[in-house]
Amino acid sequence: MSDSPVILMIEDERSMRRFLLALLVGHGFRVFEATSGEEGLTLAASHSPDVILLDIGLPGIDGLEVTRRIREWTQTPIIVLSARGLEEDKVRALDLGADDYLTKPFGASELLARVRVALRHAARRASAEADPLIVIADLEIDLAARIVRARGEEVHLTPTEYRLLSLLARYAGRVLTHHQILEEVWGPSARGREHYVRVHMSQLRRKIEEDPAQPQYILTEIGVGYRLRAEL
Amino acid sequence: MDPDEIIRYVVISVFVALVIYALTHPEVLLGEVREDGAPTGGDTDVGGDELARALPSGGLPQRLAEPRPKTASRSRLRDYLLGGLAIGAAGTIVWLIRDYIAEPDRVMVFLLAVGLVAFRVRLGPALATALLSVAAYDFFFVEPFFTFAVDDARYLLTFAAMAAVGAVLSSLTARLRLQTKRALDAEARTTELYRLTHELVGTDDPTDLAMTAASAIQRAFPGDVSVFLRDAGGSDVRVAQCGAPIEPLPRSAGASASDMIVRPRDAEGADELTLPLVGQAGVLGAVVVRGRGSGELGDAQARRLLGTFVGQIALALERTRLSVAHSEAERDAEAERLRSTLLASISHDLRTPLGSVLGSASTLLDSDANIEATVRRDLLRSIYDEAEGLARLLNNLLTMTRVEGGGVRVKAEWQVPEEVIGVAIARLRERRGDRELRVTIDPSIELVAFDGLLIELVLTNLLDNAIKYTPAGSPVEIRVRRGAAGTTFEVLDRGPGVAAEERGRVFDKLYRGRRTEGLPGAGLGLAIARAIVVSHGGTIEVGDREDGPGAVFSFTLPGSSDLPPGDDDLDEVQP
Repeated sequence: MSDSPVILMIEDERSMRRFLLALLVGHGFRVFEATSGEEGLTLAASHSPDVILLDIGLPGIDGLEVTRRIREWTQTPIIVLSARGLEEDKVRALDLGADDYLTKPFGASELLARVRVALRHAARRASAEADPLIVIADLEIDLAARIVRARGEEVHLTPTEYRLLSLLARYAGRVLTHHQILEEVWGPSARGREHYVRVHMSQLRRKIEEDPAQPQYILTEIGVGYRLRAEL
Repeated sequence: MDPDEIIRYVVISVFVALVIYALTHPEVLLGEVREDGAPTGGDTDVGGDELARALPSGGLPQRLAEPRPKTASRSRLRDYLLGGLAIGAAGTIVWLIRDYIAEPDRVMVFLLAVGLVAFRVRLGPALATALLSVAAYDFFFVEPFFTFAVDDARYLLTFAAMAAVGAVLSSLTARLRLQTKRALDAEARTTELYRLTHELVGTDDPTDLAMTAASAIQRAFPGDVSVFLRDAGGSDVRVAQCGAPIEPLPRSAGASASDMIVRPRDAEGADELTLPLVGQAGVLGAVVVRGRGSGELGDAQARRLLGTFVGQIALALERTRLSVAHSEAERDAEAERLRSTLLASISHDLRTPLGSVLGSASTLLDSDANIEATVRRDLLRSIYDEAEGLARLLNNLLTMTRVEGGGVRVKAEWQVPEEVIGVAIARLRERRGDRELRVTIDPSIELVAFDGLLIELVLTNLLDNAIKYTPAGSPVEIRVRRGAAGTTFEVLDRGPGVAAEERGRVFDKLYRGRRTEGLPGAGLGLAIARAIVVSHGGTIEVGDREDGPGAVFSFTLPGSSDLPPGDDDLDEVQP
């Protein structure tokens, strides 16, 4: 039992906590509840959770501030919970160091998938060793050999496309903001040119997706960024 | 008769003339300000130059607009010359026919000359002419000839009479001309007033109104005019000016806000008036008028007329204010009506799914019920689906109120249409069932500027609509193409289509097409789509498919799909 991952949820709505608690405990997680940002910060320090679920719209110090303070001392994965229409808040939280987000209302499967991805990334970070071969359904990305195969055939990517795809692959399952992608692939001088990301992403999709208008691998998180699906 | 006596008689004549003038102009004795604003002391040329200006014919406004002549002294000299010439002519005529006419007739000829001159010139030259006529008559026609000496004392009476008649004629004609001039001015100003009233009716913007008013006042009262309107902060802001900019006069202590402020003529002859624009709710602003030195603003009648002008302007301003308030009230009422309709419509759309959720959930909670596993799943599924529908409805509602309330900023960014369409399709994955979604995008389209989140909602709503009306198994198509007006997105369904007479209304809020009866929906999706497209400066419409039954909903976003300027360096970055 002590081996099961610990999840800290910081959420002020009772019905939301009840749903999350039932779901997470039902799937074998140990859960601690906090109803305010202050309490959440205290529990994050005392219980060293494996994943933190954080509501952005908290009374008192809000989710953004909680994210900032937690990131001052730990890389524990943070999944932000927010309402649709507040994309700017999500992006801000992600750029502050949150790992992922979920838009309310969300389903159980979405939440569990996000939590699993977060745990996997935390584990990988702990082992400080990336798996050089990433396989997602029919897509193979060999980071060591710099080879990409889709549906069994090698895909020829430009250097920028490869950098984009390998970045997404290293963070497979996690969302990356336009800002983060720009920084990683183009460097700080490209700030504000989000369309670079969009154009190259669309070219990349044409090479690896069967139907780029209905992508299976590279998902668009509208208003936020992109996510490479970790599993189909 | 010696010269001393002559001088005495001349002095008497002049005195008599002045007495007569004074009797006909009582204000001179009382030392009042002349009606045209000039102090009277020592200046006896009653409005002569005004009369001189008033007499030539021509369009009244233009003539009124003429600047006051600076050549007053020259025209006065011309008046004296005219007097001299007239007496010279009279003298010549009398000299030529002196043997044929009797003594009194000779006097009459001179008086005639004086009268004619008096009709043309101001009082000063007229009186001088009268005196000159006395002198000329004495010199040429009274024995002893060619001297000013007079043998017979009764001629003195003749001289006095001549001078007096000349003076009376002069003053009478001067008055007549002043009145004529005033009548003409008043007529011109009344015409201007009518014109202004007419122009003000067609003006709804306070600034335009002020401009119209300023130029109308300037046409009627030549000079500088500035119009000030009181802003929300209570300070007067100049919104219109004709001529030099002038400031409102300071209000003296104790003066009421609606009082006219007068600054009398200064050394340069300029006088100034500040007339407040008073509406029902208080002072709306002020009109400041500076005369061009003719002292016209001092004229009581002119001021009254100016007051009428300002009253008209205040009325017009009041009207625009009220009409703004009225249309705001109307908009509020419309919004209120919409809210209640929305509420009525939404509560129906909320009640049905909520009833299903409550029913399913309570069935599952009923521990006595013996529910089969498959039924249990169905109930849970329906709770999930209905809740999802409610979430979508809520999202639409929220976006609607935000877009309508101006709470949505369109955050246009360079977007790849394919990507946004992909998001909309993914969002409807569950709802589409086995309907195929075919996407065709003009390959030349790379980037289009729009707000990704909002246009995704438009596409989701159009696709949701298309899926709803397309029979299972039939495809829904999405096309993106370039046109002269911009980039056009089309969603083609295989539904019943939209009747021609309904096409103008399907985008109205809460409007449900006649062919949609029995299908769920609040009539919000298309209204939101239109609101968002319009906020992008685009257009949205519905038509028939060319290839068989079905409707085409299309929207066009303006602007090219070219790369942003200076950002055409999308080439590769070296790894």
